[in-house]
Amino acid sequence: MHLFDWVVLLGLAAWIVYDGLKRTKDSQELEGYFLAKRSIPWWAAGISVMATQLSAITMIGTTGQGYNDGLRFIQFYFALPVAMVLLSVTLVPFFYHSGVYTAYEYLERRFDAKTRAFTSLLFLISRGMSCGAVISAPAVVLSLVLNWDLTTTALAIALPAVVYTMFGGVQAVTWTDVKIMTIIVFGLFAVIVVAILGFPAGVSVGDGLSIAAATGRLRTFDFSFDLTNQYTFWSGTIAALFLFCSYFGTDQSQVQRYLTARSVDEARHSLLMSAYWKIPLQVLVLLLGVLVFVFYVFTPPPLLFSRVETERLTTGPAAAAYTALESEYATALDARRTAATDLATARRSGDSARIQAGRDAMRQGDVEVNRVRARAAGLVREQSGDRRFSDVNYITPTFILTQLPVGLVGLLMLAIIMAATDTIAGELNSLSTATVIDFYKRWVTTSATDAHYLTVSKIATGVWGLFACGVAVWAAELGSLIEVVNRFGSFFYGSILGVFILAIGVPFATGNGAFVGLIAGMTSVAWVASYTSVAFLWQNVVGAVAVVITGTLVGLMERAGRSNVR
Amino acid sequence: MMNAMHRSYVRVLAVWALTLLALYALQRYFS
Repeated sequence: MHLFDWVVLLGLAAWIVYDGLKRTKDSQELEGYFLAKRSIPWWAAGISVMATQLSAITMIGTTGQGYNDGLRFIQFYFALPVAMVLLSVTLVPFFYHSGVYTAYEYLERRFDAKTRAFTSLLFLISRGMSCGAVISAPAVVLSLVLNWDLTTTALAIALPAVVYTMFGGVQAVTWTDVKIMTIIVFGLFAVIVVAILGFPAGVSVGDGLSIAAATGRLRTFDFSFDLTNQYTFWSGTIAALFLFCSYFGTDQSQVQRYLTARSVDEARHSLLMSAYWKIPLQVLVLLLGVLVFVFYVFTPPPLLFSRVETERLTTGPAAAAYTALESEYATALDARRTAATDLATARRSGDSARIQAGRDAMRQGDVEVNRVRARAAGLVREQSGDRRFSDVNYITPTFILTQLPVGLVGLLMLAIIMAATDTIAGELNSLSTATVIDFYKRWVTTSATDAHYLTVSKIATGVWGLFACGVAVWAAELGSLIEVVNRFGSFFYGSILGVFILAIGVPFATGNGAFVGLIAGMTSVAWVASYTSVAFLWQNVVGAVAVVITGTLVGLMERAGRSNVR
Repeated sequence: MMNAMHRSYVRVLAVWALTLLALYALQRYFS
């Protein structure tokens, strides 16, 4: 990176953290620290909700997915607006009016202490581990791209988050989220503009999209009903509805964002903001990948975007095989470029037979290019022994570092790093809240001053930050453990939604019913995940339904038991 | 009578339907 890029990156990062802390008021009181004394405007809370979900993985992984697969992934988000409306009508007023700090606190009021403690503990374990993954995924890529050491990169991502979350609480988190989100959206548009400006003369945006469409990259809707496929219209609208209701309605990292709003309607509006903007934002992210693909149709891309793996292959025992692949790749790229140029020319002629022939040639050309790339990736796996190697995360960083002008490179690198930072900040804040409110204040020291709880909260934020950094740095060693915990966390999503459905929708449900239901739900999901190939999204439906059925039955049995005793 | 919040929900769902239609139109137009 150029010196000016470093100035942009460090200067903006320092200003964002400084301004976030400066805007923090009343953080010496518990309600100010955790809920901003319910003073955050709805649009800022709404941006914060979106920023917490938009992590660096979105910036580098999802854009790479757009490059490889196109817009197909957007189906995952189809149910989100409906989930937001459902939550605004049901859970949001319950949480807001009950004056709780955590979603799980509400469960003790409705059911009992054990249900609250169990759900909060599950949240702490799964969110604490995922925090490590949120740091490690971009840290691994950025450390290789920027030539930094992994620990330094992980700390560069996590430390600012720990500092401003620890000292500024939820207000600093929200106001930094607003600025980071602005930089991210500006950065996404900048990359798109640079990619389009890189099309050769005579190739319009329409031609570019037509070229992408010929390879299937603009196919958004898949109406096939297949329970094993994550990305279909049906899993995106039905199964994902359960996931989003659970994530936005019961996950403290999201709930805490809108509990800071000034009124219940403002809390609702902050959620509805995601309902309006999440799908267009994800389309923008995926479209960026698609347009970078079109750019690389005309400007030869490297065989592998991972520079480190390329160097390793060209200097190792597989150098000859790699060189042979490179020459095959050059031929395939030439053929694809010619097909793309022919398709653009055919579009201008308006001759439908020529257009169709151009599309077929383009599709064939792309299949051949992908075949060679897959063989190169296979060579990496074979040589490094890393069975999970994928080139997808290196595409966007490579484009940014090699094609963007000085200044924008620094801004985009900042956007990627801060996208991870703001996600961590939101999660650390919610981890600290759940630790202090659901455990420390509930079980250890029940009546102390706000100052005491604040000190404990800051320590909890710092400890969770250190824990996340540790998980991130040791992620390679902890690989399988993180996978196990993430899997465990996925068992929990549908099931916890089931508990909240019981709490609000089944008047005779009891604490025992909710607790037994939660265990039954998680067991059902574990069984489905282990013995069937049903896609993850549908497992959320299984979890929620199992909890509601079991919880209702236990509630009915307890009621019958009480009637018999009378 | 619908209150302001209900009107917001209807607006969200209408925009949602239009967004999906736009994506479908994009897919159809370029294929």
